[in-house]
Amino acid sequence: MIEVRSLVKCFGARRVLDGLSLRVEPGQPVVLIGANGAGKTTLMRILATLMRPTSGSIWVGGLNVCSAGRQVRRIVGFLSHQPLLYEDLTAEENLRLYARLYGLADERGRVGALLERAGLAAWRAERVRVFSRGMQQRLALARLFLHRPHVLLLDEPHSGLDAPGLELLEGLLREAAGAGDTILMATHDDVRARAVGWRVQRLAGGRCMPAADVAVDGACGQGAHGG
Amino acid sequence: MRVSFLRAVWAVARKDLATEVRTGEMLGGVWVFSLLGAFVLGLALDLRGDAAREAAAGVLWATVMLAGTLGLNRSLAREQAGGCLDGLRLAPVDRSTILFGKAVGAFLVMGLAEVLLAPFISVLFGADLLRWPLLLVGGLGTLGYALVGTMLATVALRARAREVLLPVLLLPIAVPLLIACVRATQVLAAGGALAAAGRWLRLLVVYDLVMLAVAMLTFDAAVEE
Amino acid sequence: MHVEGGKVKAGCTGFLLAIVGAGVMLAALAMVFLVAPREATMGDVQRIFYFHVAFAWVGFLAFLVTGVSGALYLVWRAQGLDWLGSSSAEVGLVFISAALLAGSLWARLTWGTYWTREPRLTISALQWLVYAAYLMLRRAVDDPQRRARLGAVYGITDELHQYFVPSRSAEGLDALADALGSFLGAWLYARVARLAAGAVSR
Repeated sequence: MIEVRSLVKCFGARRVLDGLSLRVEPGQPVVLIGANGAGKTTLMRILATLMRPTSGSIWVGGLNVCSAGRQVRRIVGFLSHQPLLYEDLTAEENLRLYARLYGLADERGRVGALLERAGLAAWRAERVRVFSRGMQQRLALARLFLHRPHVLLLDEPHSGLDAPGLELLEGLLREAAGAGDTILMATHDDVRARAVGWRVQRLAGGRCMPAADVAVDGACGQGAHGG
Repeated sequence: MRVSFLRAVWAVARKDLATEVRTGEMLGGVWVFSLLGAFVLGLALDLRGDAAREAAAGVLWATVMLAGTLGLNRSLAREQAGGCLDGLRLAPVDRSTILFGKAVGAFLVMGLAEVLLAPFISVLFGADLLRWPLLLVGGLGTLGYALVGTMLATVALRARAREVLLPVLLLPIAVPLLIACVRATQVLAAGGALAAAGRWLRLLVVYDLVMLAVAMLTFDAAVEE
Repeated sequence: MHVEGGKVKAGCTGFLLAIVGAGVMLAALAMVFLVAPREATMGDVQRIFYFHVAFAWVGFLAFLVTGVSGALYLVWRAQGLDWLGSSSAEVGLVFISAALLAGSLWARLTWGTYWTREPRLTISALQWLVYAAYLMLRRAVDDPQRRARLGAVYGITDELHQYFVPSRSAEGLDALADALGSFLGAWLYARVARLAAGAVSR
């Protein structure tokens, strides 16, 4: 569960998030839509403990993000714009690094299983440098689910995904939602947001707009036409 | 899913070392640049005999510390590519593991560069820098340098013009290290016993401890977004 | 936030400080040139010393302020502390430059060279470089909070490292170094023990 109350984030004089409040229940995924620069990424990064808020209270999985950062990171999985992969290491080495950092018991088994699932088993000993964008995204997805997070934060997960990647993402998200995980996905692609059938929340002016009215307007519709 | 601090530090260090083994960027950069520096200084200063021998220690440590900034920049640049630093920060471990993991990597690479550099400087300047006790001096000095250097490289990462900024930030801080290393090396290279360099070694140990404490205290703030 | 509200108050205290400062300065100058006896060997040249030392003290004190306010900033995150630290650094840079010039002049008039390997001069020069580095760092960061944070980190590092620069009182340095070392060693032990126990930290 994610609960945000009156979140404010300033960068110098600029107020990117202005008293934002949001609630995401377990098993009921939410799609966050908003124009580029609306603050979606900033919100996600604060929830993932990568950034400190200027003020406000944020609770993830019942834990306060500011005081219990480490425990929050244990249960949160964050998919960023960037793949978070070391290009000079192999796919397997990348996953094993994260497996070690998350203290997973069955390192080898878990890494192997996820590589299989992502369809990258044949490429496990290849450096990430030679991977296509789609393959890198798939590996990033494998990294995301490595430590079995209960709270998923996805920032534009569809960008750069190839067909098998799309299938993988949808499959994993379906399972996660079914298992009662808390999912928050940010995207500017409005069409996809509706297609997935989740509750849609619009972010504009540094706040969340009332959920009731989510009409497609010019600002949010940028990604709708072939995004 | 408790992660031991040491295990996390080793995981990060191992990752850096694996990359280094594969690409050799850091070691190559530091070693070649130090060698170049020593050579250029040798030519420019045009020292002979005793003067050259006395200058050897200074040339060794000065060039290594200058070249080290290149290596440190490389080390942190790797974390920038692909946003990997975020990946490390997302792990449920104390953020100082990032500092220590990378500092271990930097220490090993620079240590190796120094060992590979010493014979060349010995020849170029006619000094005998190939003595066992020098490993202790080098070890202590490089340890402090790697710690402070990694931390300041992280600070510089968050600023503009970081390649220029890091040497400017690091070198003033490294001056006590430089002086202590050079003096101790001079004493040992001239055939003195370890005890004779005791004062400088003690300074190195205290410096390392203090910088360790400073780094642990402030790294969280440095690596914050 | 504080600046607007306290403008009038600041104006009054500023004025008072200026008056008091000017008065004390005049008195000090009078004492330097009129009251202090003429030095036997060097003559009036020796009077530079009063300025040089004073400049140097202020120069180092200013950095102490920067270091301490930086440390406090990291704890309390009050922007005012950052302003204090950075203004102090700018002031310190001016004074250290003055100390270097006075010291150099002194060296020239006493020993005939503009620069000697004398510890005081070397430390002042090093401090100048530290100030320059600090101010360069600040200029390289746009976001004010980040600038404050990184400045604080560097300020603390610098302040603590200063105790290591070999200075004129070698014995004093060693004692201080040992004391500092043992204190920090103890603190480190406590910290490592806490980490090993798996305590939660941010």
